[in-house]
Amino acid sequence: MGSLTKDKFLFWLYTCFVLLILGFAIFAPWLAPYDPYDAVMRQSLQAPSDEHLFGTDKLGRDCLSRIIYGARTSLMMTLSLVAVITIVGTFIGVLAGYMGGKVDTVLMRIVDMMLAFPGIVLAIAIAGMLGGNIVNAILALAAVSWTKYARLGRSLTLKLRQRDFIAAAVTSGSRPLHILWRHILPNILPTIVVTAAMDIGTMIMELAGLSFLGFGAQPPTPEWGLMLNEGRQHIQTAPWLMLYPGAAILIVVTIFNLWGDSLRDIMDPQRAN
Amino acid sequence: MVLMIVCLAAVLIAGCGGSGKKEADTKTLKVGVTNFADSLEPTENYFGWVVMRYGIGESLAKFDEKMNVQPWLAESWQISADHMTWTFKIRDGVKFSNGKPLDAAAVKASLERAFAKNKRAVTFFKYKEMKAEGQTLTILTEKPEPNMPGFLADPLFLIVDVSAEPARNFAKEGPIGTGPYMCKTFVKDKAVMVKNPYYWDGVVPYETVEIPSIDDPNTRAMALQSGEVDMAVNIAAGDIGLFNDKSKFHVDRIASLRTVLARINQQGVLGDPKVRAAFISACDRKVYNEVILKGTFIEGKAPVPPSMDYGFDQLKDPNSYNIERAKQLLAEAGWKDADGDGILEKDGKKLTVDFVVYNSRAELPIYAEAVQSDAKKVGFDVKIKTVDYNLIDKMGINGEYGLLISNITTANTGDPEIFLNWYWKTNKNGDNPQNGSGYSNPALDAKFAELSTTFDRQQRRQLIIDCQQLIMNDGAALFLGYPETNIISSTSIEGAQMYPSDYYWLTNKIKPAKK
Amino acid sequence: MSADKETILTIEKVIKRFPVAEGRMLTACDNVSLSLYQGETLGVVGESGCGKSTLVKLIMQLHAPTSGAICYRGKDLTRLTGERMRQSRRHIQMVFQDPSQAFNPKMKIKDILCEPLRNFKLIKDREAGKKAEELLRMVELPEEFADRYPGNMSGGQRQRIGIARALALEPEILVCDEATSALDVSVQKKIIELLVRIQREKNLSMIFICHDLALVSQISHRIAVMYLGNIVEVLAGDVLSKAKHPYTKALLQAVFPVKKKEGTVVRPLEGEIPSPLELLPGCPFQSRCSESMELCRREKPMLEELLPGHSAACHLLKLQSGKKDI
Repeated sequence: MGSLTKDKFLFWLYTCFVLLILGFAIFAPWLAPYDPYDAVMRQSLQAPSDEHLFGTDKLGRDCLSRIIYGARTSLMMTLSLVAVITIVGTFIGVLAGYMGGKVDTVLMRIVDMMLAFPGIVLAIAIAGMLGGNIVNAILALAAVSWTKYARLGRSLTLKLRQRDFIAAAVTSGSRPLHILWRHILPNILPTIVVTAAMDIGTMIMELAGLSFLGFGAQPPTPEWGLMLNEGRQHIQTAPWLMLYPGAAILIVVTIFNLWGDSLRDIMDPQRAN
Repeated sequence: MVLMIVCLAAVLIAGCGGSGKKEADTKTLKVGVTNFADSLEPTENYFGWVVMRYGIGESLAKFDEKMNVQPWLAESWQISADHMTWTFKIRDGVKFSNGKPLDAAAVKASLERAFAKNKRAVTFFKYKEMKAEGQTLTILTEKPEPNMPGFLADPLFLIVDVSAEPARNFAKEGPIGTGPYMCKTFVKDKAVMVKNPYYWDGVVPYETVEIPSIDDPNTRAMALQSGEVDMAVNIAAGDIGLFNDKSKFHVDRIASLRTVLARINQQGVLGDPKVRAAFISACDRKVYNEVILKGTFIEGKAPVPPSMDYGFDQLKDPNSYNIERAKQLLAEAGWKDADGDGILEKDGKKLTVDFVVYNSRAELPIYAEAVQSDAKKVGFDVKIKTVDYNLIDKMGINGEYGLLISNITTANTGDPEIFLNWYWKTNKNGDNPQNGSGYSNPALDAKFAELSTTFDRQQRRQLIIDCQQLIMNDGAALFLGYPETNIISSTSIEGAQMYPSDYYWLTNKIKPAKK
Repeated sequence: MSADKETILTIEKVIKRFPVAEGRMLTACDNVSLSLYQGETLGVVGESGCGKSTLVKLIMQLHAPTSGAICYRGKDLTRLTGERMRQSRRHIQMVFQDPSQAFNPKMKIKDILCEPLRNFKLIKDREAGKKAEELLRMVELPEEFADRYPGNMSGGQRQRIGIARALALEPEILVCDEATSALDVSVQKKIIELLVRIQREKNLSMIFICHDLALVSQISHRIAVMYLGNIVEVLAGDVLSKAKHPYTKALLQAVFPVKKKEGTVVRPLEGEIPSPLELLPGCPFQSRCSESMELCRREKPMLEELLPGHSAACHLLKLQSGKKDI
């Protein structure tokens, strides 16, 4: 069918871009022309030139290298964050959906409580209390973001629970854990995975945002949000300091968002769910 | 993200224009500052500085452009032969902003109030008795105080009308003082002043003065560029170049009395003098100041800045920039890189140092990151901890740091004696709370004791030079640089001037420019 | 059929009520009692909403009854909990109605078939392949199907898989819940033949739920008729034409148009099916029964044996059976 081919084509196209970005992250040591931490202070704040394609920052570090290594930092942080919230959230949601009753009520009240908190504010509070660093930023965002997967896992499980093959599993003597692992999880996984893929772009932004505010990656780590903040002081005199990290965030987030959307489209062409 | 790029574009467009010379608003003046005061209670913390900067309060004496003490609310003064009694003649015809006349009794009440409310007062001087008769105020000190007029110029001792309390809440509404302006409304982010109708020292040009606090230095610069404020205090080094157009802006920049230094905690890994010396020697302060800060700061060396004559050029820095020496000292102190990760270890502990920093002055994080980068090259792992400015004082007192950065004014009494005492005199049982670093040198304490009773100018100068050399030899602190300070104003106003003593921002000399 | 058959399962006075919105109760099964004999097929018929699906769920222990007992070989299953309840499932297995819903789309046939055995640790993983093939042969499917997914098969083939899965544990009782209703007529016949053959080979006891009276009569030794959560008549499968209860007779009318005897008037069912939410006292069929009397409105008739092997719940029939000329 015409639309199926287009969906598949787009998916593979965006997957290529994603792989390109991952390539930058993985092969950073070979691709970056300089050590991102090497401060040659006499070369402070130089405009883009042949020697430094993206210019240097206030301590004389090469911006291009810091952008490339920044891909590594951003992606590592984001992928761990997404993994955490997906696993924790889905586990809790499936548990609530399958067991029902009091367990469901208690777990969903907790979810509702967490939803009442404005996300980034809570993340800032947590990061502020525990100190600003990469791990705490991930924890802080995980604390507010797992709820989405809990609700998704629960609603998918509730729908699935009505199906005959679950009743068949019960009547043929399956234990609850076996049902969760063999019947529920494999059938909800595609939707969960697609949701997680679509979240990657958003999480890159949120983590960069926390770093920008000083609650995430700390100096001298090369991280795009942090680089944006460092560049703010020189916004008029050295605009390249903000331009390139900003562009990097824009491009990478857009690519991941498009990729996530295309993944959803090929897995579910009718967009019924 | 698209929003971000749009904002970026908008900002660049806005920044690139400047607003051109605008018509002077003759009724309202807008001053962009950074304000750390939560309230206008002059005796709390250092908030008196803000009360004075905002033109509300005045002291008995003030400092001129050369840091000489000049009369202000006191017309003249003299010291007794035994140096224990100071007599001040209070100026006639001065009224508080509520119309009440200023006399010695009012001054006495105000000074007593300051002593009662803030423990820092006694670190200036202790008095046995204060007498007020008409316009004459007499102060009997416990020991000879050579620098009394300088002390009384400190904003802690600005004169307020004590009788206005409790009807007026000084903290929320601002005190009743003698300055050209009085407070109409105050919140930390914005103060609005109105003219003091009873001002004694000339015409007050503006009906209203709005003082927004714009902590971020670049935002402050942009506010000045766009005309949102008519003048701004302390524009960051990187942004000064934006105001080169003399037809639009007037830049008044002077060498300040300030030092940017990092206090060093003598407990912890930096307690070892060799390690301290290594750390200081690893920092290429010349590059920090000449290159990164574009020469708007002077390379750090001694505690007292070169803008004052206390032997800056003669003093010898045993820990000047020398990477090899730094590495050698660390090796001698027993630090080795066992696991090849670039950070030294000893007895299983890593050479990690916490560097506490605050952001409200643009150069501080820059120094911190440059130090972090240089220190890594010899094997220190410096972790930068950014905290709010309000926490700095407390953390300094409690010693909650490995290094603590500060931009400090060194001669707030016209003389660096108090500054040196505060940070490096031994803290016995909390009698010198500002010295939370644990630094103690009996030889230095002896010099301080001598200094406190020496009146002769030359002798004082030599003692202060000696104190500095001791501090530098011990590697007691890392002196990073000496800032300039500036006031930049639109050419639509005139009279905005920066003084070495950082107390006088809003004066009645600032007025609309003549056309 | 005859009294020397062993009773393998008894449903005793089972009531099942569900709370619905606004504090009301829906009575799905109202005092249901039935017996199942070893080796027989018991058909259960009724229109949709009569409570047969709920009855199935109760028998399969997917729901617990509000009151009453379900006894397998004398042991009350409804009193079992935890592991003992799980173990009791081995004896009663089920074939589901919709073969397109009855299987996990992500599981291969061989795993589907062997899952019951693995649940009770009856086979090792490496024996799964052989066992699956054996079960496939039993339901006349090719052995290659073991590695396929159920999505690639026809409705009839899938239903055979469902039967194979149900038989994997070699249960004594097989419950077929509308097992042929989702299939084409031609396929239905084949499935019925399969079930009959298997039953004979293994001496299975079957409960066959269906709404199709004609189909049920072909396969069942006895038939129980349900209306609004009640069993209204129980009789032998081959004497369906001799049904006495007004409801059964009306159902038959719809399926087998009866040649009118001279003079008799067969009236079609009138009235509406009352709501199971608001059960009126008395006979559940009163609003649609042409013969309903004062007594019928007051008192609910119990299931009483009118003739050997033939019981019905009807006041009129009870009265009439007292007389000899029926």
